[in-house]
Amino acid sequence: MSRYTKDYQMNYDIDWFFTDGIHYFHVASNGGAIPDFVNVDRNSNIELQNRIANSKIVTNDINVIDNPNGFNYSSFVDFAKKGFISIDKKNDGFDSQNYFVVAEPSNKQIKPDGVDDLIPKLSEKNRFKIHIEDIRNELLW
Amino acid sequence: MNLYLLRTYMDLQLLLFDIPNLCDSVIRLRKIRKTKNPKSKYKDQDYPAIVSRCCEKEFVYCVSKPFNSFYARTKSAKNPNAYRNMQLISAMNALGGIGKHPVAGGCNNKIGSCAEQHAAELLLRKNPSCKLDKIFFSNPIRPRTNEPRTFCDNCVKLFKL
Repeated sequence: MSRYTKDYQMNYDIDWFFTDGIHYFHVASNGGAIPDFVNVDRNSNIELQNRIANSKIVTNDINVIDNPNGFNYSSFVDFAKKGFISIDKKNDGFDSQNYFVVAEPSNKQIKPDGVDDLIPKLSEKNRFKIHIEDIRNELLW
Repeated sequence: MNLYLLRTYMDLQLLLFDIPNLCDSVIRLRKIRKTKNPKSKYKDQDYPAIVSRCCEKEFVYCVSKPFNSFYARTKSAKNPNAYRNMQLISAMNALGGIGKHPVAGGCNNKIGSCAEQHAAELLLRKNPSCKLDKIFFSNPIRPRTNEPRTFCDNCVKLFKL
């Protein structure tokens, strides 16, 4: 099983995914570190990316963060329509664990299509430190 | 025109004429790879973290010829053929050596991995007589969102930005 090397993680903006059993998250790595419980097998993440790219839209009812600077959030919007709470890493260093929600389905408990067997699951054993700000800048996690 | 305005003007030209196209082409290429072969294990299927474009300062005024510029993305400095220009290699060695962290500290990026440094190498291959401090860089951009980024300490020192 191959893993993402540190060099690769620093040079690429990788899409990775996880679930806590209720919510499904998509994360843009923004050149930052990927947690170990996801970075067990790179091919499994690639398989998941491909499967989600070809999966169907489950809702068009989504919320998107204010965008006064006109950045392109279409990538995050696409994932939110497919049922993921789509979060981005803040640009504050490789190892930092500060994230913010960019787009999310209005019904946060909606289920994406056909990812259950592959998506990494958070458990007590692999719980990692992560700080996520929601769309109203309040700490979600 | 004072230096600040000139700099802003040059940035604007590159930003308006080049970078959106550059980001689009990065995204388009990624989609084509995924569509053609969804099971591909091709390692480049993720977005690059940052892309940058550079050109010689004289060319900045040629707005109608944006293709005189070169762009590159962040990538590993491990490839021994990544850098061939002796001027750039010796400047990098003075900082600490390709693929290593700078001796003086202050920057987390390994020398030679930044998009700016790869773009400069492409430019210097075409025009070896160009001096490092005569290279102009557009602001580095994150292709996923078009967010501008800042130059890192290594690039500031290498190219006197």
